[in-house]
Amino acid sequence: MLLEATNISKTYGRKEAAVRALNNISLAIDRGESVAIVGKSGSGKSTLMHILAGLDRPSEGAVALDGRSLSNLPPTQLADVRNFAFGFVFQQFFLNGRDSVLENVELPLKIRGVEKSERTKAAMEALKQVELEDKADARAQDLSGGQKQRVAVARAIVTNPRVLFADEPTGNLDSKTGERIINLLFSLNKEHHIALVVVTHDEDLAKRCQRRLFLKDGSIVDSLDSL
Amino acid sequence: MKILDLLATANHNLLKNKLRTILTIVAIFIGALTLSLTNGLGSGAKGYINDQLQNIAPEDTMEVRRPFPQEAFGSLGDVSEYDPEGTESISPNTFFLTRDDLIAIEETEGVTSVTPVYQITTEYITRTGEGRYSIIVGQYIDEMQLALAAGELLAPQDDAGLILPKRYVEPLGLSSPEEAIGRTVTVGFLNGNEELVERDLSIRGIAEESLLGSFQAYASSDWVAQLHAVQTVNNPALALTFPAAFVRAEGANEEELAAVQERITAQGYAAQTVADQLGQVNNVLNVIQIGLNVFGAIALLAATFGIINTLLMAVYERTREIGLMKALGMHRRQIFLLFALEALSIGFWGGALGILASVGIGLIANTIASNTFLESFEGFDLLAFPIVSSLGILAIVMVVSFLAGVLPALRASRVNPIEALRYE
Repeated sequence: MLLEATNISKTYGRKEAAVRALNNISLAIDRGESVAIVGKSGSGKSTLMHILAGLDRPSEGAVALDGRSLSNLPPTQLADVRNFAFGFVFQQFFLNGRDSVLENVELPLKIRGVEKSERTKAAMEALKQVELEDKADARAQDLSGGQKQRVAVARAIVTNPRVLFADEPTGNLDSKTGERIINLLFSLNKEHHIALVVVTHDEDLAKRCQRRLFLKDGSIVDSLDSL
Repeated sequence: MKILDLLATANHNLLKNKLRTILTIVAIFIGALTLSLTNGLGSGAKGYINDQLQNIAPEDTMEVRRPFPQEAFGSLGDVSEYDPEGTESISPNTFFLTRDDLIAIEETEGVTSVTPVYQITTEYITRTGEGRYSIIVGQYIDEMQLALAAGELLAPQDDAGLILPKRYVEPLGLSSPEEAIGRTVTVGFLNGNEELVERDLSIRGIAEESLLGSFQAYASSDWVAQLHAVQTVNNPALALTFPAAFVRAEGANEEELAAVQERITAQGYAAQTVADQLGQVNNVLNVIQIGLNVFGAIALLAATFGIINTLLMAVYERTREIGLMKALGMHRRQIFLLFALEALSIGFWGGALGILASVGIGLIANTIASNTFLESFEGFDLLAFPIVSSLGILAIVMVVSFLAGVLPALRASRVNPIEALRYE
């Protein structure tokens, strides 16, 4: 199993004021699988994604990548896991507007300490996959919303991740550009066998995933497999 | 992230907010400029005085005296009661060196020569057909390095030569220092019977104006000794006592000189090497320099708050970017380093430009000063910037900048990526 969560719970605050954001959740994601985490705001879907992606730690239970628990890893090693194994796409893109498109895409490799020439090559390759290689030198802030999200996808896949986490990837886009991003994500999922974990309340997006997990008040209330 | 990438990113980030960065650099610039100028003022004075003192005697020379008879006077502020049985009576011999002392010192291991200091008084200097001018004639110690405007230093055994300060050239009716060389001048003095006597001397060299040598002429020890003998003819006690002696340990290195000094001190004399005298003067100058530097340090301190402020604002503005970098796998330590490097870069540019500007100001100020109020002090740079102290100041500025960057950098390194990337 690629990514596996076992009985994870997350509690914020202490004692009487404690809020249980996640309640005893277990799930397993296979290589190349696509999973949608669906739920209303406050259902705990973002918290679940953060824990799966190693951005947050569960209060109870454990997350394992390739059977190796992430719970006991020191912060620096957890950061390395994020850099090497995971890619992130956010609703609000989070590009550095004043930097060039190329610099934005290179960022994870720069953090990893890859040589300039090598990371430029990889970044251009990733931009080609999102069909934005001609925008490499443009400033990120000059792009349209859809283009920005494609740059964010390029940044997420430039490291050849095992899992791509997408948090409401179409939330800030109109339906047409949103459709294009969705197609892009699923083609990457199919061609490169990158597991896709999508957090969304968009039913159309969720339906295209192999599996849909419905979250309510921190618990999985339903799980549906698409055909 | 690689350190060079961190450095490039830090500078890139600084350029994103040019005005703010420049203003912060200006604050550091002013601090570094002030510190470099105050320090330069101290270095200038120190350099000049050291230079001048080194003129006085060769480095392997020391001045030997009798120690101050502490027991005869009691401790400072006290007056001892006279005790006819007790302490020796106080005579010139209490303070002065006698022939026996000179012999004892000369026989000390390592001593190559002993030249007593002769106390003489001169009345005037003149030249045929010119007026009489007051003058002090000092004793030339062999190999004493005086800065000359013309001519040569006195050769050993030259008991008819004189080195004249530059300021006497014109009054004595000579058109230039070069023209003065080889001319005969007459020195007038009172002999032991209070009668005016004159002696002729030939000008060998013209001394540059300097702090210590601008008023005093120099004649050889032999000539001064002869004059001393003439002046003390009726006072044999004075004739055979000397306030001090110049003792040379020719060719001795620092260690050997110290050993000789110790042996002389062990015999109950007080010995001061040139280095000792320089040390004393330098101590005073160092205190003055430190006092001046405090002002520069205050300016620098104020500027560091500019760095703290600028970087805290940057951390606040870039919280999201920091959160993203952390989500993408950047380590806390690297985030810390990134902001610390921004602080260091500000410090480097402010410091380097401030020091360069102070050197520029120094060049201008030195030119103006040497043409106006320091005209009579040949070779005196008002401001001096030894490379070591300039690098030292740059290092201090950068260390202080780094320290100023610690708080913002810690803040940045503690950014929680989930909080930072949460959308409103």
